[in-house]
Amino acid sequence: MSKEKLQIKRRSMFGEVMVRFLRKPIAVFGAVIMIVVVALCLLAPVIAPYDYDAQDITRKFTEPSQEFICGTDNLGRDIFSRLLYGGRISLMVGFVSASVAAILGVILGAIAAFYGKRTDNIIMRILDVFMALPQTLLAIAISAMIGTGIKGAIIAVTVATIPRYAQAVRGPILSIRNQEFVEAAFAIDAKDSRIVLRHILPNVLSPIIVQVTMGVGNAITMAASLSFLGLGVQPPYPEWGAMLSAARVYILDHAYMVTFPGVAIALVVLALNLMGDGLRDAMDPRWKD
Amino acid sequence: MSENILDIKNLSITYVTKDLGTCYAVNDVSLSLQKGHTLGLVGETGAGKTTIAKGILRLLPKPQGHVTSGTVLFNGEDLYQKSEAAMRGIRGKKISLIFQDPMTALNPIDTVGEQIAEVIRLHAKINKKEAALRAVEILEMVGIPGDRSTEYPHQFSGGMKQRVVIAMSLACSPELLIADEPTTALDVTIQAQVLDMMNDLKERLGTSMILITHDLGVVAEMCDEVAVIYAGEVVEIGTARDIFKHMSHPYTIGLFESLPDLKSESKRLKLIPGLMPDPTDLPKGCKFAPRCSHCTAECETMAIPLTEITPGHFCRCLNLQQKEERV
Amino acid sequence: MSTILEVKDLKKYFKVNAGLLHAVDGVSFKIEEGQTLGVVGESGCGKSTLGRVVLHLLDNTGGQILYHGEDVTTVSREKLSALRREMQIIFQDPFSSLNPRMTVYQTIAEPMQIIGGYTRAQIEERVSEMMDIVGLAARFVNSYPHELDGGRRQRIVIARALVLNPKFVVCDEPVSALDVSIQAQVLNLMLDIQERMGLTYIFITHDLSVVKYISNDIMVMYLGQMVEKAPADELFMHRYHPYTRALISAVPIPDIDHKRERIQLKGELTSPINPKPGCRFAARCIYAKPECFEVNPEIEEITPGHFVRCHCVRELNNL
Repeated sequence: MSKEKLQIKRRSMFGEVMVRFLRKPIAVFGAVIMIVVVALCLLAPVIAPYDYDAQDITRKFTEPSQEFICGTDNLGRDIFSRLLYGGRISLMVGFVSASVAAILGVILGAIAAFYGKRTDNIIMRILDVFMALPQTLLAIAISAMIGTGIKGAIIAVTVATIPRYAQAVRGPILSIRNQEFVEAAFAIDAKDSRIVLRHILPNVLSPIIVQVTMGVGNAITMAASLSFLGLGVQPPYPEWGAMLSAARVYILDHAYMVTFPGVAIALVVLALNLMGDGLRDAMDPRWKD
Repeated sequence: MSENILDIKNLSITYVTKDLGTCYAVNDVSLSLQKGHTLGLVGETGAGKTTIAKGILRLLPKPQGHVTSGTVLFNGEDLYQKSEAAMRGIRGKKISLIFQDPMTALNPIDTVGEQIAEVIRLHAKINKKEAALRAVEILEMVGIPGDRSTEYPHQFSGGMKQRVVIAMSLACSPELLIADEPTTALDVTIQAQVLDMMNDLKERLGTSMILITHDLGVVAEMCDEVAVIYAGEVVEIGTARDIFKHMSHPYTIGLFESLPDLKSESKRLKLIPGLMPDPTDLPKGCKFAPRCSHCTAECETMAIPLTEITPGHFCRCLNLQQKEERV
Repeated sequence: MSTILEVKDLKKYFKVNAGLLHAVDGVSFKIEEGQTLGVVGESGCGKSTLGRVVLHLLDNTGGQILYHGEDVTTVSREKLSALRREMQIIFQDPFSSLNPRMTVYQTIAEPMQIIGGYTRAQIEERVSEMMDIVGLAARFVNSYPHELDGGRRQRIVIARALVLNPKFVVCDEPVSALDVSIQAQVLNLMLDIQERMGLTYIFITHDLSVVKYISNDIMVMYLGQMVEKAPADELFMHRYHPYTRALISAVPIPDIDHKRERIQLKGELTSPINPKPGCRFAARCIYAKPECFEVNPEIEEITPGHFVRCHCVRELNNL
């Protein structure tokens, strides 16, 4: 038999996704914003002109100026510095809780959908109980139980959001589960874990990615509500949500106090959504430009 | 020729998309259909059959679809000169379209009676009661007991649903019916019933029909004239007898030969090698040349005209002489 | 020739809300090595379920599936894995039976990777060989399914099914989604491979002309039961069962001078859920007698090798 040697490209998923991602200007724009924001926050000790809890009551409510780029708050603390330090906490809470919740939620949803029947019923009914409570209320309850602080906030937000992820993947998995290529995998005697990881999950990535990118923003705001109620991150640690709610009182006289933390949150959520959209398309080999 | 209900002249349609470039879906197609006759459009997936149908009704997807040349005369009037509003009056009322999949053509939350009545009321000014009565009549015409008009689509089987879809398209007594693979999704015994019903209705109502299909057996049962479409071109056109008994184009011959035949005894199918050309990159000369065993240097370079072999039987091939001998 | 597969009184029922759906209800047959058994019937007759139960992709409700004399339904998990290598399935829809995120290479190589014990070079060699056998040019090795047309996709499906050198393949409507000219290419390919590798096929289809072309024996199914079974040519020459007759007469013949005597069936397919006693086909049969509605006829060997399930078979056919 005459045959040429196959030129098998080791198509690494990561490499291909990156190539396609980089071809989407808007998504790259989102990614650039995120990189800048993260870099600024990480470099806070170097960049920040002041300490985050350095008070100067005499300079309270200073409008943005050259000295204080974003002005000062009711205690005379530099808002720009607090934003930089606060970003570390907000972003950490957001990313950690969203990704942990996504991983756990996807596992639960996948098990439920893959095995179906009773397993599905048990898992989904328990999650339904969680879903019946408003997320924030649930987070408050959990936070009250396990205590305050950054760790408490992360755990509370994570647990409260797991059901959303489980539900978001269950439907798509159910429909993929019935496709012939999954049956074909059974026919070649593939293990359950291989079928789920190789055949099913890659085909439901898009809803997961979308859910996670939106989830980070959601987690940031939820953590903010917790701090506002005195349950999450405690003063004097700056956290965007906490700053925002503290500034609420002064919104009429000193609008800049809410503007900057608000813009920071909005910017991050926007950037994540742009990235998420791009990533979703980039992960689909059928997508062309 | 004034008897023609439909005259398509030199129709060309392209799809322009960013990622694929320009796709030449229909190339210089001319067809005509006499009143009361059935014209079969035969060809494989991607040959441009459905695009021709959409082109007639001006239902091409926007913004990709473009009619680059040609006219479509319906009862002598140029459909491409009409306003969008006038077209809406023609679609469904004078020209009806039946799609392949009966499952998606019906709204699951309305009863079939309501859906047919709605179509009637869109085009005729009658009150609800009359429309409902008319709907029952039409259902009975397609062989569904009238009392089932209050049932929902999911209560019907596939064949019944396709009857309902046909009933809907006949609701306004259209002059022309375009059926795009109307029985492909159905089982053979059900297909036989639906085909018989369509033939019967056509005779009773005098409807003209364009039947799009890939199934030569269905064509043999239904059609008076047949056009064989390949890569957006009519490669052969004539009466059903011309095509089935005096097939002349190598592609038509190949199509017939590649069918497993209930009667034949052979143990290997003859086949057409290769694939249909990419519609974004069509061969310069004969579109079929790369797959043709009689291909000559001329075939590859020059545009091939449709030649009349016998009155009314046209074929787009340079080497007709040899083939006549072979057949 | 030895019997590769024997199925005895195979049953598969599904629980549905309305009761028990008798998808496969007491089917028995034998296939000799290297032969093809065609299974024809209309949608809902249980032919696809039959194929999946035979491969034990679905558990059976009753009956036996003997592969080389060994009951597939009772073997150990390890033994079943070994059997799976010899028994494969080719699916109908080349669009949904391929994972859209796996390349041609990944898809064809997967069965070997699952078994393990092959070096990368061996796998590459074998994939290349398979692509050659099914007529896929080497340049497609890194393509994704959506980049290929239906015929090429079906070739990938065939290559994947055959990569482990199976002995027995269930083909579930392998050409129904393809155009005629491509269908001919794939059918010829399947016959070539069968000769070359000595394969045994169960060929499930609704297309009578295809089944006649490819099969040695043909089994006609109606509502989960076999109604007629005979060697292919014999079946088309002597159609004893009224359903077979109706089915064959309904096929549109591509010949305008063909005079069809269409045998009409009454009504539509009846439901396979909690079937009534009596012949399954009685409700649609124009010859049905009162007896037909009470007792389900047994399978009878009318002439050697020709089996029919009908009370009236003798009087209808003047036998």
